[in-house]
Amino acid sequence: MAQLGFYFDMTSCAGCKTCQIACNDRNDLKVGTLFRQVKTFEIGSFPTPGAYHFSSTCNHCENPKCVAGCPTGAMHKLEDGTVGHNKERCIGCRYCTWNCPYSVPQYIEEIGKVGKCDFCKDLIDQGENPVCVDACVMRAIKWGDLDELKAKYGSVSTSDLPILPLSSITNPSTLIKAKTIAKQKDFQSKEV
Amino acid sequence: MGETALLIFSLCLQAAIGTMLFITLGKQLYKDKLFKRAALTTAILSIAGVLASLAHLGQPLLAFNSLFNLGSSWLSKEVLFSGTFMGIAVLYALVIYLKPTNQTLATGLRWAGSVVGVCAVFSMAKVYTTSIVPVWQGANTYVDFFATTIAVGALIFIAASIKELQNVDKKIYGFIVLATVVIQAAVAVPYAINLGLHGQAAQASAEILSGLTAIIGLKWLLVLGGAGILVWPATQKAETKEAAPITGMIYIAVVSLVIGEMLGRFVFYAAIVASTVGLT
Repeated sequence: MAQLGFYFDMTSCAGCKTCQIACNDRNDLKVGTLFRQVKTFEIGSFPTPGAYHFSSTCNHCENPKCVAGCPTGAMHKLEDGTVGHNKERCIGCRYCTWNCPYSVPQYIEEIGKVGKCDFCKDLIDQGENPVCVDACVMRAIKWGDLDELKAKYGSVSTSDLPILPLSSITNPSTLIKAKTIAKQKDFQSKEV
Repeated sequence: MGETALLIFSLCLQAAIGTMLFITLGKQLYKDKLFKRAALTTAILSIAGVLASLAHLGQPLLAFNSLFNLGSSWLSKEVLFSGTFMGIAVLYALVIYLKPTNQTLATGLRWAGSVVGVCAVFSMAKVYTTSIVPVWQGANTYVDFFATTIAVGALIFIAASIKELQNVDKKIYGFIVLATVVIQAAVAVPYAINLGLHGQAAQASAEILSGLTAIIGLKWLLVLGGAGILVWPATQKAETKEAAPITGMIYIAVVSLVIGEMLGRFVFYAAIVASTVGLT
């Protein structure tokens, strides 16, 4: 089975959150619900402080715990390896929010169901890019077949960072070109 | 506290299942007794629990969709076993009240309810232990759920069957309850103390728990106190003129233990920290 994935170049990310806003706009999300989010982390202290930004969304994992745990089958793997969410089937039990190590599925109170990144499936089916990819002014987000992404960026990227859960739990389909300081463990999340 | 419905669901179902287990045990020991009120309590508690679980859903009318992934989802299995248990408990109460002479049917339902109930409690524990919330992972959740089932079930059974158990030595039930809650405490306390050693999310949960120390202390006081009252010699006396005070003590034990277990379950849900990174 094919497996699509994202590549995120943290060394280029300026933390502008355009990807987050584009995603919100496309999915018509209300305040408080995010399918993609940019978080900023600080590390170290004077005289050697540092900061980095991390743009995250659904990792469309190879072994998604949300799919295994979903009692309705609403969360499911598609042929392209992405994790789809069938809104008609979802009963709003929120069990996926307890199963995703990356806290990706978002419970949307108004509709009584969860929602999450669908890899802009309708756009990629028409040969276009996901909106976050096109919106990024720094061209820090790329997407494609995970094997091809690994062949191209595998030597400079990782799926494991101190801020993230172990990739062995779900095998995320996201490659991250991390800043060196992002490998330090003394990080603190910062509101920007 | 966003998980009130789940608190009610899990406690009611476990109490109902525990009561059914003790009805089955009671019938093995005293074949001539019907334990009508206990059967009715089991049915009411299981209905209340299932209704509470529906209230938790964003789309309660689509609840049957939750049976679509029985293969890999423990939540699916939990729904199946809990729903089946409720059906059996209601049927059992109907048989006991309307056709008490049909012993074959009653026995079949009682045993089926007990087996399905144990499967439901196991599935409930699995739902939590297989999630990515560190505070729920490990043996503590199994021990907590089964201990609540046995302790609350035994007490509700005794309280609902006071008249039928009038001339019966209830010491054995008292010791079962006390032993169960002592095991529950012996597993839970070291687990909570060592929680901080298991990663960031677990540390965050440990911090929440340390902020709830007073509630946790009160929980153990009520749970152990409730169990203690039951093994108190006065509570064991054969019913005479002092029947009223003894009955009162049993009710106090039930209320104390149930409130204690409710506080414990409140803490269980309050300590949720799934991940320190993500969209929430």
